[in-house]
Amino acid sequence: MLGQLASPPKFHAVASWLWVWLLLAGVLLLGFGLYTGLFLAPVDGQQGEVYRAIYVHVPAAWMSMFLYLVACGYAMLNWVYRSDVSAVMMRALLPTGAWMTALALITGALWGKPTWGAYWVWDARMTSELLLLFIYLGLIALGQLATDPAKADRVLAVGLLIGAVNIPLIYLSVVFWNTLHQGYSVSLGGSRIHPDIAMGMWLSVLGFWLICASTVLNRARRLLVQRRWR
Amino acid sequence: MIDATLSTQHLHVHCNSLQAAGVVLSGEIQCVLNAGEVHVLRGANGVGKSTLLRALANALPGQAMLFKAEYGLRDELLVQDHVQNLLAHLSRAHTDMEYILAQVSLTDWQYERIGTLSSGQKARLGLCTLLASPFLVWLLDEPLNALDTEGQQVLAKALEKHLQAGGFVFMATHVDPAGLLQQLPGVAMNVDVLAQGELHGDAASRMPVPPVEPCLSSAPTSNVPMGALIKRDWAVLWGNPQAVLWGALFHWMVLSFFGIGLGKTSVEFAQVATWVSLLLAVLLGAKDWFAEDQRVGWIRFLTQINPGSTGTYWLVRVLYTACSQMLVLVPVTGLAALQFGLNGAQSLQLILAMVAGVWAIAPLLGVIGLLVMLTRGGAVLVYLFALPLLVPVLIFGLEASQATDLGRSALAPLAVLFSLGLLACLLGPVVARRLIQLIQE
Amino acid sequence: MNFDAWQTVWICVALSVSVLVLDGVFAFRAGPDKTELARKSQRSSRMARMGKKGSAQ
Repeated sequence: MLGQLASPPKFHAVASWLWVWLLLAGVLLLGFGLYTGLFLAPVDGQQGEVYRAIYVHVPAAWMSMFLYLVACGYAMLNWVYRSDVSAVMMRALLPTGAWMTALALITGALWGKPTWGAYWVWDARMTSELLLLFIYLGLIALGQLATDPAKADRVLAVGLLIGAVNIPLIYLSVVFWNTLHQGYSVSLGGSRIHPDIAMGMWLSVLGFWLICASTVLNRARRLLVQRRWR
Repeated sequence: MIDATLSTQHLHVHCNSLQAAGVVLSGEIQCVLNAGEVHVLRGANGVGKSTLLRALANALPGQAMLFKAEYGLRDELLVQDHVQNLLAHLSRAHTDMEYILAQVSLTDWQYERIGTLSSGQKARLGLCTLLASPFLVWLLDEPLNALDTEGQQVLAKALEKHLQAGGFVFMATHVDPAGLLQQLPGVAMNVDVLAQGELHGDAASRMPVPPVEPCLSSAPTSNVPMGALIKRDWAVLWGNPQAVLWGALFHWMVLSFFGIGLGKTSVEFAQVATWVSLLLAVLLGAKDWFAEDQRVGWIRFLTQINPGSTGTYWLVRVLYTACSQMLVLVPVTGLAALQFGLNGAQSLQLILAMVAGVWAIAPLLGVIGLLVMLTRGGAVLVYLFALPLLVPVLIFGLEASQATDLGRSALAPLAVLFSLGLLACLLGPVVARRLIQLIQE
Repeated sequence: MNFDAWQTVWICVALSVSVLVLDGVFAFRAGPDKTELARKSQRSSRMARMGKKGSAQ
């Protein structure tokens, strides 16, 4: 069944209605998640009310990394099969990924100020997230700037895969550096996680995921039309 | 997509549509070329003659030779360097060099730099490729433009020999080839015109011959002339040393800015600044590593005469650049260390770490250098993508520079840097070969 | 300027929602969908027909 989706008309047909449903489901879940997290979940002992920022910060951060991985999956598919659908999915994932990364950085900074007194710290997670943003922007540019549109897909695929190899490396190296230099560590505080907090978190993550998926599908189907039927 | 079938008597060409950089140049093109006859392709400028020849060359790897007047000639090289390099790639004995130079009447210019030759002489030097090549199909792109009468005689003689041996000739020109053909008595001439997206003429109207003759499949040359690649890079480097030196001067100047601005700095700051400056200096130069070879057509040339060697060519270039950067940057770093007040042991650590760091980033930047060539004016934005990838090297390099002072072993980070470089050198040629292929399409 | 805890949380939530909305809106700009394409081509052929009838548009 999934194999059929590789055909552009099939993909377009499915994506055209699926994105709406995903959006509705996502908004619903995110709404519930935020309601649970902002109003139902208890206050954190160490951080106070401010911890509630995690209900948007964590989903954004997870999305930023997850979308990159999925884009790499499509990059590999594209390299092997050279299909329009894989190329279009690869490109559609990048802007949303970039937005999520930027959101994670900004919400992280806003959360950091009241919690640790600084908007920014050079710990492993924030630094890697910042570098991920650069990589996203660079890749988006790379995809647009290829001299020959026919080659652009493969250039983008190479770039994505190089980035994929390097992102874990970047993260690990920054962790390494910070452990040596008594770096800052970002943790949630509190050893037990209250079920309402966990529920709110999961609902938000799912909500974000569905909304991102819907946007990506919408963008992908439009890119596909642009590519094939223009 | 172009489709070309080669047999002993005929070359069938079929192409759905000619495209260059996304611009559609023509509709369906179909023609049949006969062995032993000259085929002339005429047409106005910009109509797609070069594109057709190039596409045909790409479609017949290892069997077709695309000839353009100044193709593959690098200004820094000596004439003899170029010809010997050529012969090595084509698996010919390098004693043939004198014979070939004599045929194109360039014996007296054997030791001159190619940059000093006139364009007619360069065109004649380009003819050496045809003379030396074992290729069955000759695709000539405007050969008559730059050749003087003597050069045309040489071309005529070469064509005669090639055609008698049953070779194919497809020549794009907007100059009337009558003069050339007077020197080829008894050779049939076919003329085709490419106009308004269609090909008309003798070859285009020929009916495809049913395949009774055996199809000649491409037999790519398997030898990779390491010696020739190394010698060439050496010659290129010595022909233009400033390509390497500017990086060192940039590095030193940037460090001096820090010194000027901050006066006395801590050892740690000096180490960080030196690393940042080094990485930037090497990164900024990366776009030029392959640019000149691409501009003169050497890379495309290489993919035609010996496609299996492109990965090795990339690796040799990367290693050469890494070594030359290390050689040049080490004294500069030593100087900078003195200026920043590092003691002997710290300076030595720093230098050692930097050597490992350059080794680690060189193959990565080699791939970046190729990516840059696939983007329009894209060097800046490709660097944006490349910057985060340098961060691990910065981190491990700093650790290697500071470790002994802090009582840790510098061996671990040095080993990491070394392995990173090694891994990238092993994977790099594969990626590079794909990218180079992509660039030539 | 310093926000208090709840202000920070609400700003984060508002930012997230705006980003999700913006991203969604920009997705529409990635290209046409099939109906829009059909509509555009029908419009341009209508315009061409009108143009051919001589009226200066």
